[in-house]
Amino acid sequence: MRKIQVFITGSFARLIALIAIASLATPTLSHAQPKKLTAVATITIIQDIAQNVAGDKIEVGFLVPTDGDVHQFEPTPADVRKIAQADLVLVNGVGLEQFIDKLIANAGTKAKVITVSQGLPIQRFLSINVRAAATDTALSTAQPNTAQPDILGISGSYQCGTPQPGADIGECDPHLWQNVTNAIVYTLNIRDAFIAADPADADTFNINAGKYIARLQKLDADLFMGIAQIPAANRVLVTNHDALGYYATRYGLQLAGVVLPGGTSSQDPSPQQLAALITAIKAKNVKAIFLENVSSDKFAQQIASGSNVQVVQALYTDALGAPGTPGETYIGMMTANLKTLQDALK
Amino acid sequence: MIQQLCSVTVIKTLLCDPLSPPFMQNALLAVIMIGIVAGAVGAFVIVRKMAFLADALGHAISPGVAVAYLIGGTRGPLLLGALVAGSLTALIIGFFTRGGKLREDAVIGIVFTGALATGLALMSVRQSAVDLEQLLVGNILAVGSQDLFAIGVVSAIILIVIRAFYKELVLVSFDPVLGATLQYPVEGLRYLLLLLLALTAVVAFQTIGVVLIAAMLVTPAATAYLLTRRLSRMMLLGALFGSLSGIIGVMLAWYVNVSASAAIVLTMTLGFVLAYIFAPERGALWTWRSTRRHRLEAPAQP
Repeated sequence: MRKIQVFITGSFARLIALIAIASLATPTLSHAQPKKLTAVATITIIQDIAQNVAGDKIEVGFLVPTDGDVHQFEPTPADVRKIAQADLVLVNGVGLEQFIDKLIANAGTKAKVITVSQGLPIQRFLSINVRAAATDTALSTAQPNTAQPDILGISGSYQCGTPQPGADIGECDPHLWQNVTNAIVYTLNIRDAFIAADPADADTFNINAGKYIARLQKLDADLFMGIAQIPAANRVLVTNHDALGYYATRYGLQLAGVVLPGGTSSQDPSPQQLAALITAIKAKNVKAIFLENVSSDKFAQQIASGSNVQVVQALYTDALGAPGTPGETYIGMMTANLKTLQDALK
Repeated sequence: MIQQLCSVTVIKTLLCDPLSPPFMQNALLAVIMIGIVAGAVGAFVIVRKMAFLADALGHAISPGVAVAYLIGGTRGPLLLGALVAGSLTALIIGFFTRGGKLREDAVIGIVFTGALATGLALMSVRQSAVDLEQLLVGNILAVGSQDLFAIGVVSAIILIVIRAFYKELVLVSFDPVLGATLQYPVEGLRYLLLLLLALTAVVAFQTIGVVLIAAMLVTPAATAYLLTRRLSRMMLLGALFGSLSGIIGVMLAWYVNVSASAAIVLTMTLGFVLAYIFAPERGALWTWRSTRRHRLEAPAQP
């Protein structure tokens, strides 16, 4: 009996030693790397912009899947591997990716981390002001948003603070890509990062970026014209989470409220907040609540039945749509959103 | 008349504001129904010492709900999924525990944790932390009118079944030997009770969440048990405590923005503690006072 015990223990010990040695050896086995550079973007929106700039010179992957919620994203071991093997990591910044610091530390990657929103002005969440106004003054009827948004600082240098105890959200709105002129800056930052990583292909990146920016400029103009066609009194937004702040300030819409408080989608509204939103919707003659491709509609039905507004599926906000849907590219997503807004608010 | 009352600020903040939004009305109606049903079924849980089983069945509905989430998101056939999973588990557990075999608690533990893990694994495929949280702790605000109707129907079924089989259930609960002698289908009634437990879990999981369902079944009935030993009264008192705690919990969720399911369970637990101390004839205070009185009245020993 004792011999068998010794044999089993010995075999286990040998097996564990073998596994330990093998894990030390594995890094050296993956030495042979293809010449083509790889980049990983956190969200599909950045991935799409980056791939347009890269053409076929760089392979750009993504972490958060299509229709995925970046605010709730939990990286898997496969994601750690992607980061570890990448040459460039493209991050939105401004607190969008709560998981990214730990993920990069865990991956132990030598990749260069690029904040694609570098240099852009960071806006305060509009919903903060909406909530403050609701508790102070009487609710007014909808008006086009003419007030200047609160600019907190510049992305890349401003430290977005973590939420204070008692406050429900941090202040920095990270959804900068909803303003197409910001997306143009994203394109330029990505182009610069690619050129730095792969100087030989600088011409290609410049040409691709130039072509893409021309398309974005046309998109920006189209959005302006499109929103202007909506009657001024109807340009009121209620979305699932506060994702369209930059869209609202750029193209002339007013945010009446959001279902999920906090700029992320991870916080549930309290019963009182839900009731306050219903009151605000009724007072401001909101025509529709816009659900999003990324967040669940848990409360939207409740609000709709309590206030008799229509619930509209669905805006593309924090992620592209699946291949085959109108929102499968950034330009496609913004165009589709314009149509959704026009149809619901006319 | 209501307008006049609601114009008084105190009444408005305390009563009119929380009671006016439709989702609050739905939530209150839901917890009242759940409280009544859980209190009634809970009487049998206490008498037959099935608290662990009640907990197990509550957890075991999660794979059914998870599959329903995968099919249709938050508007999937959640209640149907819970129903299927709950009934299946009830039958599986009933099968494994028949005849009072040994290691019954181990088998129950294995089955329900396996079911819960299956549910968690299925949920994690879609990577939705929001839905997972809703499964585990419930969401008092998400009870729509269709859900309310379904809760009402299932609750009615549970109460009708209890009423129909009341005599038999009481007899086999208190005196299974006599029941067997009288040729009552003791095993069949045990399966029936397990199914009733599963149905109660189905009614309660959306608002209370899978983790705390056991509390709904055990605590109000245990509180009632401290106050009476007659089963019919136990059921009525349990139903009363259950629904009262539900109402208080939902109102607390409004005033203080605390999790409604947690508030409900804490209210029930507080009720139990109060009953434990102050119950006539069985409460701690009572027995302490009566032992004191006897000691004081005892004749002095030479």
